Amino acid sequence: MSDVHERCRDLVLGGDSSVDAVLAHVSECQPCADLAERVVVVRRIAATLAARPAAPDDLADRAIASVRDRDRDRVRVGDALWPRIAMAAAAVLVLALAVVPGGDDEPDGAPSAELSDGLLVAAQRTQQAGSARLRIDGTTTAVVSGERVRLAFHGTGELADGRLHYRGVTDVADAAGRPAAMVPFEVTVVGSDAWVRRSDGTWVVVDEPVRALAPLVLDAGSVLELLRLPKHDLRLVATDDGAREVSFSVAVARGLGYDVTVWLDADDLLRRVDVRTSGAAITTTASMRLYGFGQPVSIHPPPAGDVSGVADAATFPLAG
Amino acid sequence: MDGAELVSRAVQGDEAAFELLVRRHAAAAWRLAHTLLRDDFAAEEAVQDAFVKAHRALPTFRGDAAFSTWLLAITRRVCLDRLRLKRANIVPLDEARRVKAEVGDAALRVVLERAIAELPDAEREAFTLVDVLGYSREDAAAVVGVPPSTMRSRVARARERLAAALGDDLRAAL
Repeated sequence: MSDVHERCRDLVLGGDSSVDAVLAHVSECQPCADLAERVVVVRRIAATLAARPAAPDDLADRAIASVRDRDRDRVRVGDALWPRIAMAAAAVLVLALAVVPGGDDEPDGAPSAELSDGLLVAAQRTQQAGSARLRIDGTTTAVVSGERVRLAFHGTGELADGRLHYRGVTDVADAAGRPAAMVPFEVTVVGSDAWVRRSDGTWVVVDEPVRALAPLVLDAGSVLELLRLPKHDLRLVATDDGAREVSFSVAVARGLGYDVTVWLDADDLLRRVDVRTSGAAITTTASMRLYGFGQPVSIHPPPAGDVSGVADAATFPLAG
Repeated sequence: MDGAELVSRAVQGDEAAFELLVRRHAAAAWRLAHTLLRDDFAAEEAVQDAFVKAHRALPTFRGDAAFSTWLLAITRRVCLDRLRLKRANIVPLDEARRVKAEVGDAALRVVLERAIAELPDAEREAFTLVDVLGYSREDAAAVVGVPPSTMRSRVARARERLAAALGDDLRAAL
């Protein structure tokens, strides 16, 4: 009876109270009947909350005016500034995907064998999926031309077979949060080579240190493979929909590391990775979501004729 | 012109098409923003910000989700950013004081709004999208970026908390 009771409760709360089994159980179980009635009232009242107030009549006009105004006021990014911002965005993208173990600090604790094995299975399953689409949102602080700026980036891409293509937009704001520029950017990684597309449509080769991290970007499973190293503080949280959430910290140097949370679904596929720098003068947060596993994707290096130079590693803006 | 063609033209830089999209979707964005922020002025600002961000990000729109879902996801992020800045102002205390003086659905609405505001963030968001704004679990999951099963469990937990929190008031209403 208790199983039926729990099943009924689950269906009622899930909004599936018209199921025959629920109706039959509710007719003979007063607590479930009470719960079903209360949920109905909660939902009935909730549905009335959205109706008030109505949107202002001129909301669309003002939104359109706002789009026009902000585009007109936007600062055009010069050729000298653009590569640095694009580099920063590319670097953050890489950092969002790659967790770099090593360094002097060793966080307390080590993953249990059970946890490591589970993560390894997830790594293998994710890798076996062959391809995935991804979405990344994040923010970071960078130093561009001597000034500290805040970069908020978001975009989508796909990865497969050691290749990554990502296209997004980076909003640049000054230290006070005032919008300064918008930089579209596009990144392609094939093997250990990486390219960033310039605003004029040409591509530049990304030099160290971004390229050094590139191999770690190439498949989502490689992120989890790193967890086999016994230098992580791991916490496993079972979520109530059968998925799992794993949090861990990685030290990459004394006083600098990453807090990472990984979500695995019930099929052991990597679904989401959140990364946050810890102990650094600058803060970077990034959230990567994976979906569309196994769909055909086509990622190629940019045509040689469109590659016009090498990005200057000396201007790499995330070091400080 | 149908929605897909409109979106396609907007992605290719057709400003008139984008403005038509704004007119079609402004009300939905408003409902979400107002429900999350509970303030006319803040909601209007959030909707404007959301369309500015959507306009900038149009080149990245790939059609994996419907334009409406994509726009609502942007609106949601804008609202969450604003809520983080003004977290302390979410629950007006005077609403609670009014409750005992009112009867019927009007009173329940006030109580429910207060109880919704006290839900954990993820559950409040899920309940708002599904039970207040009427999105399907699948659409709400796409807006938030979680699996539908996660959305279902969040909504269920929210309903359970709300049914319990409103126990006495609901009994009077039944």
